[in-house]
Amino acid sequence: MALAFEGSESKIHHLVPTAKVSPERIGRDPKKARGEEILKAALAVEHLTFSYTKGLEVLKDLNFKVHESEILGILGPNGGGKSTLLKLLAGLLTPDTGGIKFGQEGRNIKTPLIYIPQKEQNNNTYPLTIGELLAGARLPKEIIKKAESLAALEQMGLSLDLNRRVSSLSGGEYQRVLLAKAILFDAKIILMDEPTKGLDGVGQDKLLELIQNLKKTRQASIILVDHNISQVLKHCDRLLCLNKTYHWHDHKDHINKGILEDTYHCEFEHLLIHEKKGDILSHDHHHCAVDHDEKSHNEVPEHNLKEARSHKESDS
Amino acid sequence: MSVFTDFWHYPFLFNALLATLGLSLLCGSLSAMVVAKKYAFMGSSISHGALLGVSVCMSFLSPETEAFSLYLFLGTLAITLIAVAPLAYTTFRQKLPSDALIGLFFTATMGTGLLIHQAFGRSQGDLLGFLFGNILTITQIDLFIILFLLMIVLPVIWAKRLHWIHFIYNEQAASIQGLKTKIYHYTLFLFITLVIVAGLKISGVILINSFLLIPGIFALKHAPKALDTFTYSLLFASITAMLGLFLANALNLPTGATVAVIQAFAYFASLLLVKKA
Repeated sequence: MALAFEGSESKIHHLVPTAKVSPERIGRDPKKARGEEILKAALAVEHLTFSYTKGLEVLKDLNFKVHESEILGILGPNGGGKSTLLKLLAGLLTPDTGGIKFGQEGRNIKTPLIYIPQKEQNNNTYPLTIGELLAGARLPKEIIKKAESLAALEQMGLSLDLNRRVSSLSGGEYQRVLLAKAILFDAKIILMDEPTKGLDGVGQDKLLELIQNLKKTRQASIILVDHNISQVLKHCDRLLCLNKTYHWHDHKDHINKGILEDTYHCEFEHLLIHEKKGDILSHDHHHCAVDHDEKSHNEVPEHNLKEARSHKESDS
Repeated sequence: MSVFTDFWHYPFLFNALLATLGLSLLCGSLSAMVVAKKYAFMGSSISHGALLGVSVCMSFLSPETEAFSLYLFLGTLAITLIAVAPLAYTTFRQKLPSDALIGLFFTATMGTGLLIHQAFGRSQGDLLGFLFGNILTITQIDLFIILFLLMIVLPVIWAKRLHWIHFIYNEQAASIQGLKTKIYHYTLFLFITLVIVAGLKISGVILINSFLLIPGIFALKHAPKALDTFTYSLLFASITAMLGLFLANALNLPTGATVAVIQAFAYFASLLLVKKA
């Protein structure tokens, strides 16, 4: 039986094996499993379509919900639209059609949101200190006092001098300082673009544990993009597999190999299609008009696909 | 008579002293932000663009008019703001326009200004005074303009200095957390233009950039905190401006040029001192 989670409203544009996991199997009440009766939606994306260039959609008819006290992990290949989606949620880009609603029952209320991008656009010519960064967490409303900043840092397991410059922090420390800022801001939605990038295994685990704590203690909804599939599966509640106009959204227990292959397929199978056609050198798979349905896959000999997959696995 | 007491005995020198001090405080309050925001070339471009406004006003206004200084300020300000508006618009939440585009802006506006002055201007000497400044031309009206600007610019910057810091440090993050970055962006451009136009008589379109940039470079280099950059910049700007003015009077040198050299010298000296320490 295919589960139709309200809130997922997943649209699978390709042939993807439907997950056959019953609510009982994942140890949840069927009503609870349906979600909306129990969980309050923090954010709802409805029929969202976006393109940087007219006619070349980066995201198409995207629908999903994120609930309070939930972590949504976004998976997908490079150029699949993950960062673009976060920018849309942060309000830095405007959708072509569709919309994003914050708050319960689709009411579009102003929700404290923090966005931690892949590359911060920090102007490090300014000698900004940790104290100054945290003091401004609730601007323009108020300036935060030192004691409150220190308490937030402590919650993030940091005991840093507030007079230390932000530019001198390591990647892991900086991420945790930003999470302390999110606490001070009382952010209800936290968007994180590859937060574990550049961190070692221990640093990754520590950061993701802190994110879990934020979810539990502050009922924050966290949306994180990460390429580390095992970390995402371990720490996230729901998943959004995204590759441009293709997307799949549901509870993480429903993910299967077929969905992941369909999400990431263009990384290798797509190239093989073009290799066969002899236009590999001029290939730009982000703006490719070739249909990637089952028929197209079948054009590539199976042994080539296996070889490509094994190359990809060994590369990773 | 002493080079110091001259300023109390001669009203035109006293005017120059107050105007230079006022301009140094105005520039000092903006300087660190202009440098940190990487608007150094933009500031230079605006100051050169101001020459267009000066030549238009000087061509069509009679210097004998009682409130000539006020009309000159208002006319130059209006024309410069119109010219600067596209630059301010294209730089909001976007990468800076290419250096070439800024260069195009200031050469085009400056060239147009010179052509207008050539066709309609009264004398070439008048315009040259605005290239390098002439403190002897400062009037009571100029002083009131600077005082008025001080009463607007300093409180707006000082009262919201943490807001300004967050706007300059990470405009995107500031915008997401609810800071009206559009207002800060256009206010910064307005203040830069106001200060440049008000300072044209003192240091001219070329040398005003030393007032606008060197205190900020000094502050960003030496201040331990972002909030301290305002104090460092204000102190550096006012002390070096006063030193330059007294030295210019003592050695009979042009004020704008002397202040520019003193500021550059003070900055490099500070680097050496810090290195030795």
